[in-house]
Amino acid sequence: MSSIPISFEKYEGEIKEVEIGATKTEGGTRSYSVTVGGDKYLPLYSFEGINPNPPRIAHEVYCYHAPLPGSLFNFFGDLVDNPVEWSREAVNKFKAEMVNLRLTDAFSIRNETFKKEISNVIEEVLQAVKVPLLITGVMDIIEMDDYRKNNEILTKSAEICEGEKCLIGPVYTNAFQEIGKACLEKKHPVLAKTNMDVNQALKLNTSLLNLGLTNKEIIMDVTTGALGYGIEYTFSTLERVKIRALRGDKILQSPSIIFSSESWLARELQEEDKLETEKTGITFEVLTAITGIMAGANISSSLHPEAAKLINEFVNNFFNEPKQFITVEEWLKTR
Amino acid sequence: MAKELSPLDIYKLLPKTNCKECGLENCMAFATKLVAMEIGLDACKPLLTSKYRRNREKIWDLIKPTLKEVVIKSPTKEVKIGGEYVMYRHELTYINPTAIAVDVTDDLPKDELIERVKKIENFSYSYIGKELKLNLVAVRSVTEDPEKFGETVKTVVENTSLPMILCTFNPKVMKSGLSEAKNSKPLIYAATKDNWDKMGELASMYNCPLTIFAPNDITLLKSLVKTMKEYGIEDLVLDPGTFPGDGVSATLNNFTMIRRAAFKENDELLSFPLIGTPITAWTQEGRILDKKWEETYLAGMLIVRFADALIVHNLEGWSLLPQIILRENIYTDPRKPVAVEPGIRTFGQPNENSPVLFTTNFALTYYTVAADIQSAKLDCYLLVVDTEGLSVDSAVAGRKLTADRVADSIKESKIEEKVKHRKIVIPGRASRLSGEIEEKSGWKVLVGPLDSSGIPKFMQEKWK
Repeated sequence: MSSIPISFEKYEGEIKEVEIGATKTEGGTRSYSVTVGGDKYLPLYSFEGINPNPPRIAHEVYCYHAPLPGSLFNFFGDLVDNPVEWSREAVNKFKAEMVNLRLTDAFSIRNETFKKEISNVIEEVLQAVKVPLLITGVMDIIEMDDYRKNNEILTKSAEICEGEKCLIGPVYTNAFQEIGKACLEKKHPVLAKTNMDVNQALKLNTSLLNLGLTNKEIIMDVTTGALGYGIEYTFSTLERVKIRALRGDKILQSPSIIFSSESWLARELQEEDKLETEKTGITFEVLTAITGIMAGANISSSLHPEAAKLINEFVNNFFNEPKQFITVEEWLKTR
Repeated sequence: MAKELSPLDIYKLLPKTNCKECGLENCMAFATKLVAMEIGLDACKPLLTSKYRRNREKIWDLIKPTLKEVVIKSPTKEVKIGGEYVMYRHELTYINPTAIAVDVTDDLPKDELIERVKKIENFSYSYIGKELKLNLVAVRSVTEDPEKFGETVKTVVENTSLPMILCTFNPKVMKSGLSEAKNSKPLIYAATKDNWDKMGELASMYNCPLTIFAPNDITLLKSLVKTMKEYGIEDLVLDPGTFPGDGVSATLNNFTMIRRAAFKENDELLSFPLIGTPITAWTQEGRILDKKWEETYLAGMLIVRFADALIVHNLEGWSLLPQIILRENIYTDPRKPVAVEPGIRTFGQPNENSPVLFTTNFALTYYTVAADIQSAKLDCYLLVVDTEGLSVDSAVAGRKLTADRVADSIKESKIEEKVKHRKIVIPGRASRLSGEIEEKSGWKVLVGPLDSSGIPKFMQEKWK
């Protein structure tokens, strides 16, 4: 590497490591656990130093009513509405390192009959795959009652997954107690969701810390939207949170997550018959994830397996020792 | 620019005549807006006269961006790159969006060349009230034949209004290209450790901006910049190399270190715009699709991390569309609320029987709905309700969109004088307000689709 005299920032703080998934020796049934965070430097700036844990990817699996555009419905086919098989496929075929079981959206949780079924699904997924799990509830609060439903379903999830160290959430600034306590008791890390505001993130983390959780048991979602739909806020909030934590703000010293899957909500991707919608969507997802990762996300929750593969490839390139650079001059004359 | 700059520092250098030519009340108001970057220095006409030349220079020194602004020109268009004030967008805002160039080569048959150039120029996407476009044509010499390159440049100039980047390391070939680019200032790509003297001469002779290329060698880059500056060439663009594969880490490091040296160390030799070349992904072995993917994410990475211009090869929408949207997002001014004026908007030629719809004043929501109404060629009224710039979902949840507010907006807009009927289509995501809206406003509510893309179909079926 070429040397130039530049000032290296001295960081007072570091992000705590969070472990997701418990193996047999730790009292769970996962075949391995995944550690995220531990950042001592800004993400991917290897000239400052190499962070201990590369960003990781969780593959999303929806319980029911997956809010997928047509091209993704076609891609997943029979797996849609079959979360157990979908999880199995994610791990076996698409090599998912973690699975994010999305307990579907608020609209369907509102339907009481799903609740029992969801409990069964979680148990079956725990049996079917042995990778660390994320369990996410209502990500889009539309009315006050959604908080109650989210609490109910996630508290239940914490019980079912006792000992497995699943990442469970979201909890919100005005609805964190029940889930927070359940996770504390059942030893799960918590997903803390705030809306693109550093102060909100501080407030929620403070509440969770007061509850008895530590930064080693919190993952922050400070994001708000994907490419085309608010990624500029997502990007700047992630970046500000990370810089502030590294500069010594202890309350924010937990890892962050980005949901690249949100990309598929973009209206550009809703037209089923449009050519190459799927490829465009994968690109949306990849650019959303790498933007988030560069700004400080430690986990990307991703939907399309091809996107997950490309994000992984991008990240791995940063953690491989470079072999031999190609002579980049060649592009000028490449035909 | 010094962060602590006070309007008074500017004011004392202004003519203080309060001539109002800038459109403001007085010179103090101009100084305040200038410091807040809400008005440009050129708006002050008296400063442009010889009497105030020195004062203008002093003011410019106070307010000029940390990063040199470089202008690339065609006879009719100009593209500005660099000119940035901050390293991170949250510190203020970014100014000049990353200019994206797509390449053409000098071995293309003329008809193919023209077709590709037109495609580059016509690539366009409507996004929240803006046309997102590509900015530059990069003309590469693969033949190293001066005559061929000259002809190619000539054809490009004749067929596009976009400014160019001329790419070759061979000064003879470059000269042939430059001589065909009349009334233009193409960006010269590039001076290297082997050709810098000749390329420097050409940059001077044709008065064009010059790229300095020193792959993965910032020390060399700096020494070449120093030489060029001594030579009187100030319009420089830096290329520290874009390396695909496991070189991506070095790429990001170099871009970041250079930017940090400019902003945190005030290193004047590195305070120039950066150009990235994701097109290098094509030099690797392997499947074409893999190269396309890699080019795309390299471009994404460099849009986020400091590239002021990019050269890419793939002209397919699935790759370019996400890039230009990412660029638009990252270069959005974080200081500005993303809201539009509330009130009534008309689409087409509505009459007293035309439909009335409402939406929120969040810019993204408004322009999305507007685009859907336009593409359906509906004649209608759209009531934009002030939700303090929130989307429908958030506004309903945060009580910024309430039945009262909708009823007030209906009244204030005087829409009741424009239509005979009393029926309003509300966003699907505000459905739970429907009963209350009917009660408060006295209008009949039709609950519209959850996404505005469903408006055309909905109106066809439900609006009677």
